[in-house]
Formats: sequence, C-alpha cells, structure tokens
Amino acid sequence: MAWQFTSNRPIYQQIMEEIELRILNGTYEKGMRLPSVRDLAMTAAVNPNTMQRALSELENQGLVATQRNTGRTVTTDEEAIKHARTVKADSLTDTFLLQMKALGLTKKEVLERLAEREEKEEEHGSNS
Amino acid sequence: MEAILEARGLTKRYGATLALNNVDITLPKGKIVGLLGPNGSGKTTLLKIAAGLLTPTNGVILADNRPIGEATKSVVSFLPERTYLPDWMTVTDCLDYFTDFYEDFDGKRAEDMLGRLAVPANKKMRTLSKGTREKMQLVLVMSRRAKLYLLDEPIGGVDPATRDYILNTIIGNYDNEATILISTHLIADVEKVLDEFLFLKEGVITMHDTTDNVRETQGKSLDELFREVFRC
Amino acid sequence: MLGKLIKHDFRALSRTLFPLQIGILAGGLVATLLTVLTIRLNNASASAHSGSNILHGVIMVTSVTMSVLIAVAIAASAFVTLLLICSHFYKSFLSDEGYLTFTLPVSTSNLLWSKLFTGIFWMLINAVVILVTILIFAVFGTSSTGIANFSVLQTIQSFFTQILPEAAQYVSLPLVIIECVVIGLLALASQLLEIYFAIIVGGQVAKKHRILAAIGMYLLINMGVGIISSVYTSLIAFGEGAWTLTLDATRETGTFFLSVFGWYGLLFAGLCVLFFLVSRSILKKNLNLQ
Repeated sequence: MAWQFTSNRPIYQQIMEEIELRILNGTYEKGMRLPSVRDLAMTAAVNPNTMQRALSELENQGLVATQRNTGRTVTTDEEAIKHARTVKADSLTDTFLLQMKALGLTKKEVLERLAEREEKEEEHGSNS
Repeated sequence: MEAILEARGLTKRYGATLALNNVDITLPKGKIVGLLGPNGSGKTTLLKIAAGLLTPTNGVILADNRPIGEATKSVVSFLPERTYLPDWMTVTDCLDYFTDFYEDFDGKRAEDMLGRLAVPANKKMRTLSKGTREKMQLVLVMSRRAKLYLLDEPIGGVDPATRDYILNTIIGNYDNEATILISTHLIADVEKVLDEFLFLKEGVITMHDTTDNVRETQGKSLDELFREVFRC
Repeated sequence: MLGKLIKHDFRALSRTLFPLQIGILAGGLVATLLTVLTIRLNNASASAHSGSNILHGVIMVTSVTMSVLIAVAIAASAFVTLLLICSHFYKSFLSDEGYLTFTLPVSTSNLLWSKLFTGIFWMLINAVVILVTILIFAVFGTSSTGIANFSVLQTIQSFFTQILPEAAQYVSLPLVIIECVVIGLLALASQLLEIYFAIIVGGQVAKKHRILAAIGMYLLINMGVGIISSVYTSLIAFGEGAWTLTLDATRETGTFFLSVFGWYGLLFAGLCVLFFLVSRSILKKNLNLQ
C-alpha cells in the first residue's frame, strides 16, 4: 500500500523518516540491498526524483551506501545506526514531554505514570 | 538545459473567448509536471496545441526544439480525455496500429501490462468497461518511448483503485530523458507524483514551481495552495 | 507511411464493405434463381394446363416481388457503399477517433490520399460486383429455354467482334480506352473529394447536426461546381466547335471526341486539385475536435 504523508512538510523528508524508521527497527536489515529507486517510488507511490532525493540525503547521513556493483544498501556501520536511533529517540522524547506539559502534567507526574505502566505490564507478564 | 516543451506568448482564441493568454512555459527533461487548474482554464487547449491538434492564434510553441508538426508527433505521446480508439478495434488491432505507426512503440511492454490487467487479446473496444478502456488507452500511450507525454485528466472519473493503477503506471514508466505533463484538477491525488507544477487560471500561467518548494517555503501542501489561489 | 495508412483504412472499410459486396452477389444469385424458377413454373403450368392456379399465382407474385426488391437493393448498394466510405471518413477525421488520426506522425496530405485511394478502390470494386451480378442475372436468369440466355451472350460477343473493330477505323482504340479509364477515375476522384470536402466544411460550420450540414454543403458545392463546369464546357465547345466546322467531319469527329474528353479530364483534374488543397488546408489549420 502507498505510504501516507502529511501535508505540511516536504515529501522527501517524510520518505527519509520512514526509511530511517525501517532501518532502525530492523525491517531493512544492516547491509540489506534496497530495491531500485523506481521500485521504491512505485511502492510508496511517489515521484522517482523525490525518492532519489530522499535516498541521497540518507546517504549523506550515512544510513545508506551506494556500491558500484550492488546499488544502494543499508549501512553496516553499527555506530551510524546507533547514532540515528539516539537522535530520533531524543527528539521523540522531547516531543512527548512537551505534549505532556501541554496537558498540564509535571515531569514528576509523567515519571510516576511511566512507572505505573511498567508495573502493570510486569503483572500481566507473570499472569499470562 | 534543453527544454522538451517551450512556449512563448502562446495565445489561442475561439471567436470571442480567449482560451490561452500569452502563455510562457519552459519544461525541462526528466520531470513529471502537473498542469493544474479548474475546469475551463485552458489546460486541454494547451495540451491539444502541443499535440498538434489545434493551431495557436499567436505565439510560438516548440517540442523537442522543433515546431509542432509531423516530426514532433513521433516523439510526443498524447492521451486525450475521451475514448478515442475505434469501437470495432480489438486489443490486438490496437497494438498492431500503434506498432505500425510509432517507431518508439514498445509492443512487448504493452502486452505485459495488458496481460497484468487480464484484458483478452480479441476483445473489441466496445465490449470493454469504461475503466478498462481508459486503462487500455493509458497502456498504449505509456508504452511509447516518447520524449514528451501529455496526459489530459488521466484520473478524473475513475474509481480510486484505477486511480492508483494509473499513477503507478506513470511512476513506473518514468524515464529521466522524458517529461510527463499531466493536466488535472484532482490535486491531492497527484501531488506526490509531481516534481513541478503550473497553475493555469483563465488561460494565464499564474505560478510555476516545484512541489518541494511549496512545502518548504510555505508549509502547505499543493492542494491547500491550490484552494487558496483558486478560491471562488 | 502512406502504405500503412492505406492498409489500415482498407482494413477498416473491408469490415463492412466486404460483407456487403458478398451480399450483393448473393442477392443477385437469389434473384436469378427466383426468376429462373418463375419462368420454369410458367412453362410447366402452361404445358400442364394449370390445376393449381392459385398456388401458381402466389409463387409468381412472390418471386417477382422478391426479384424486384433484390434488384432495387442491388442498385441501392452503390449508394450504401458510398455511404459507408463517407461514414469512415467522417469518423476517422471528425469524431473522437480524430484524436487518434491527427496525432499520427504523418502528413495531412497522406491522410487524405489514403482516404481517396481506398474510397475509389472500393467504389470500383462495388461497380464490378454490380456489373457481374447483372451479367449473371442477364445470362442465367432470363433464358426461357435451357440454362443460359444465348442472345445476351451473343450481344456481348458482338460488341467485341463487330462494334469495336469498326470503331477502331475512326479512332485509336488503345488511346480511347486509356483516356476513358483516366477520365473516369478523375471524375470519380473529383466526386469523392467533393463529398469529402463537403463533410469537412459541414463539420466546421455546424457543431451539431453535422450530417445535415454536410449534405447541405454538398448540394451548395455541387451547384457551384455545376456552374463552373457549364461555363468551362461552353467555352471549350465554342472554341472547339468553331474550329471543327472548318475541317473534314468524319475523320475529325474522332479527334474532336478525344479532345472534348481531354478538356473534361482537365476539368475533373482541376476540381480534384481544388478540393484536395482546400480540404487539406482546413484540416491543418482549423481542426477543432470536440
């Protein structure tokens, strides 16, 4: 199915995020050969030039590499992936905290909630 | 940069109506461009002139650096909004026809695509449903290895699944030496597929930009921008 | 490219015209059989002192009516052939199919040539088919004794063995034949081009009711052509006639005959050129498909 995009940010950026996500969560494994630009564009239902731009930017960021014979592959550089994961996680955490603050919760309340959640899950885990 | 389509001061008048008013366009190679505007804004007129079906009242228009004529017709592939294949022709007849007249027609590719659509070779055009017929026409037009593709409202009036198929075919057919010019008023559906766009309002080009630029500089989608610009 | 255009135009026309021509032949055969049957019945009843007058009468009436109908149909077939040729022209150039036709990488001239050649070709085929059908009927359908009507065959034969050789004394036969063929073709071409032109102009003038407009245009153009032809021929006749009076009548009749024909040929050729060029010009500059 075609990828979903929001309306206010450049599509190539959103494509980058989606591919990065897939790399970080292992859907696209380390060293895995990526489909051709055209095939990826068709899957995502986007313009091939846009897909090309996204992949070039990812290459600049070091998450994707181009080999002369095999085309584009996911990087094998564990450090690069870790770094990307950290950056992403930090950004999401910041967003989360801001959103919680907008609801009127203090940092302490947020941490309490998180602890509660973890307990519940452990209970569930031992019961089932 | 060599332009695949160039117009300078292009004007078309029908009696008292001015369908195109002093239009200037330069389209580069290897791009998918949207010709966007409401109904009656002159999109079809522009495409028909580029395809050689209408002569301008004034101005200059070049395709592949040549004036529109017999030579440009062999590198320009036009998909009209209408069903224009004869009723009595079968799928095979149509393939024969295109193979005969167009050197750049890739018959194998067309057959593959039709096979995937499961359209039997000996079916006559008049026995096909409207949607299938339109897909058939698209397949024929896109199976030509042309330099400029002109698609007039290719996704209007078809169901969402067919729309996806059509956009997918356009993406899959992309060639960085060729340009595809798509006229439509269904902006939201095509935006992801477009590199650049032109806004055509009452025969006048009011904007020509890249889709990325709009989002980067204005934080809006093309659809939102269109609604603003063409507010009634 | 012209060859390909002709191939496809021919294919499109054959679809309807080929069955039609077969139908004509078949109709002719049926008519022939019916009349033969009628004659035989007539003869049989005449000699057998008709016991069943009513049955006999019914068969007579039916077969005669059928023969007349078929004869009318065969005559009408020439008109239907022309109609189908015009219909193909119209669809190809002025209907939605025009989007296909005019985006082909071919010249407008070639598009017209193809329509002209295939149109003439099928009209000639139709003429031959009708001729053959009539011949079959005349030879096999009208004999009251035996299978074939020998007097008809004899008349045909005498044309070749008596009339032609005699004519050959006055005129050069090969030349006359060639001239007749050429001028016949030119006449046919000019007629067809005139009709094509009327269809195009009709399409320009009226967006709705294009067919009526085309017919109206045709009648108008025909009047115009008639006037031009009359003026032209009277001028020629005047000139020629004045010249011929001064010469030996018998021998010069041949030359007169040839030269008058020649002038007609020129007229038709001129009309062909006129209609072709104007049609082409309209298609190139003023095409506006809906």
